[in-house]
Amino acid sequence: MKRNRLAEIMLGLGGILTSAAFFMTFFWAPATVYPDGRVDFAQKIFYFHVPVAEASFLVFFFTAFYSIRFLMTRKRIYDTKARIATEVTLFFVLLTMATGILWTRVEWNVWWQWEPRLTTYFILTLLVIAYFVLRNSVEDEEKRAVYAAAFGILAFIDAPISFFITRWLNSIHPIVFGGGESSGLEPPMLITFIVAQVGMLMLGYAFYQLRLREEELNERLEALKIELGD
Amino acid sequence: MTDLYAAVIPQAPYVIGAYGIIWLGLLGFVFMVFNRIGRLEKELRVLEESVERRAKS
Amino acid sequence: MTQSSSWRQFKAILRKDLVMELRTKEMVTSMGLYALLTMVVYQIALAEAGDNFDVRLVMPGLIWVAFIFMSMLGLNRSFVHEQDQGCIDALLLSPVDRPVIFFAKFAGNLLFLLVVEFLSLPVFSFLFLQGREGFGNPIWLVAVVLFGASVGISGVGTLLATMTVNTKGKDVMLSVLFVPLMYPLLRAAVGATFAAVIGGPGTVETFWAFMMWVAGYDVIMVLAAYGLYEFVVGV
Repeated sequence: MKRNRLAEIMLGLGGILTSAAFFMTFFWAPATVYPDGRVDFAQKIFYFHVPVAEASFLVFFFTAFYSIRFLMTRKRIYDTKARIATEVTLFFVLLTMATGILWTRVEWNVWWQWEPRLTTYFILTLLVIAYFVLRNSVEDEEKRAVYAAAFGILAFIDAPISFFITRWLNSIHPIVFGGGESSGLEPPMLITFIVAQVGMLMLGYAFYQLRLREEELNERLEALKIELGD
Repeated sequence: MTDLYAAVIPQAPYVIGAYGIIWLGLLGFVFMVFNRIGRLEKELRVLEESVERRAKS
Repeated sequence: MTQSSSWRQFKAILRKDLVMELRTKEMVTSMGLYALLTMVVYQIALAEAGDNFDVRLVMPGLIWVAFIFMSMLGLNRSFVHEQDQGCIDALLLSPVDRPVIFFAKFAGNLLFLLVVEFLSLPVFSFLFLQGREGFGNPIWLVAVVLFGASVGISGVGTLLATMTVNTKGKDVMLSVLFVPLMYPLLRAAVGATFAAVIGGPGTVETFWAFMMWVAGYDVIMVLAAYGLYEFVVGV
């Protein structure tokens, strides 16, 4: 039985990098200090909130990518891949939402704010959930795959909107990179962030591969059961 | 130093909460998938053996 | 040659929908009634707001809420008909290009939606806006938004309704898929309508800025829907 070595290596490396980033966050990266001397401890959430969010966008891109591949080739494997990518997206989206809400509570004093980034990300969450609701409500296998692919492609259009909207509109959501003079990070902060980001992307890849392997095993099992059944 | 504590203590539960959710989420995902893969592999082995037995007989 | 035959096919499908509608008047009556009912609900919602409350502030939101739900009703209807009478299967068997089916259904849905929108807007004004200040900007601006946003609603709706009519939930499924996809368009449509209704310095610029947003959404989403329709309608 062939094992996916790359996925396991990525899982290990991702685990090490995210753990390292966790310690760097609290013991190395300098705390952000407001002009009036108060310390912004909640800024520490940034080092994991943003990597998880970026990972969710990136994995969702693969939903659209494999959906297009599926529509072009009609091979079932691409449908499975698109579905699994969306599952991993949902997982990252939920983590982003949870950490974001906690950060919002500290920095903005409310749990939720209808602000462009939050709103579009909330819409993204609904779209990802709707993708699975759609899958569950179609019985015919081919129809399910085609419909899910079409919806996956349409839904992905919201991802770039959500990503860029803080740069297009007046948003109170911080723009850390390339957002004017107050944006940007000191080197130790940037390095911590990059370590967390790379680690998180590796984990995303590993999660995707692991789920894919599980799905393959499941299919082989079903096939064997049918073979034994008659 | 007191400034530091004054800022950290009220914000700490949220930061701990955020990191807790992330770690539990990531570990939970890995654990769940490995668990299921392990179970599937075991079932698969049993079935494959019975297929082989059948082929021999 | 092929150009003209596509055009004939397009007209034939559209005419079929129009003739059926003229005979039964089912779509326009059900959508119109639905719009009237939402206005009754709005009366309840605004009942305690008092006479000094300027309804114009919430009017753009209210009308778009009514229109989006009304459009879903119409879209679902239009494809349930096709399915019940086996029309869509017959269409797919005949040598009609798939894009033609998309554009014909799209045009029909757009037409019905616009008719009901233009009928219900005066009713809304009659019921809620009497004795208030008039529109701040020329009223044709509102017509521009209605048209622009309805294009996006019908275009994406035609694709989604073709899918959801084959699912278990049908109309519920349509709203689950449709409303989040519509968010950017609706947000811009409400912004543009608000700018048109309130008026004042700078609002015309705001209006056109929002309309650019609407136009961008229309182009991207209708093209995407058109591209995907071919895959969706055949399965």
